[in-house]
Amino acid sequence: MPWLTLLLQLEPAIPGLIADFKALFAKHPALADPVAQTAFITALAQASASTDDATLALIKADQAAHPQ
Amino acid sequence: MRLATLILALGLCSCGTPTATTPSPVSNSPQSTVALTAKTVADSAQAGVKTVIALRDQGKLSQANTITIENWLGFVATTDKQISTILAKNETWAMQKTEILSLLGTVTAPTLATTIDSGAQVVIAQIMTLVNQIKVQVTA
Repeated sequence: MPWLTLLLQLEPAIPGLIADFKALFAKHPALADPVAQTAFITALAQASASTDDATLALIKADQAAHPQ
Repeated sequence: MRLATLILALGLCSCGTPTATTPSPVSNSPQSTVALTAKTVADSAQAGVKTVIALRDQGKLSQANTITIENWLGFVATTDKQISTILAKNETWAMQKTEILSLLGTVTAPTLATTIDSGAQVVIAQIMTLVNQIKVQVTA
């Protein structure tokens, strides 16, 4: 489901896109089939992990630049 | 903007390869709800780090408190990543719930003086609200 990955990549540029997509699931139940949901969760988990990694890198860089 | 976003989403949905069978409608799963909140936690933790760095650079937060909050946000990000890993695993929701609840039990607000900058207090409060939201979603 590459379009799911694309939606998640667009989300930072279009704040609220994920919430809109969730609403889309609610309005169009056919999209919320188990396969689509599994792909959605997997893509979302990857996006979260990527953001978390970036956060950890940001902390590491800041603490290296500003030691206590 | 919202309408345009939905139109874009609908358009993208229609671009996929047609499936041979029509999927049966099911309600939105609890996993997808938790996954959405976990993404919000990830975004909030990153925004929180940027906020405390800005507060420190403006002289509103000590370096010691900045490090304390950064370390805590790092712990939150690591925990959030573990939650995402659990959600992506091929396990039953019952098993995932147990693992997520066990992880969330380790997340408590950092011990800091109540006199720290209000902006830093908001960062911590927002994250804790989201963590508690996941707890509710998992136990619902």
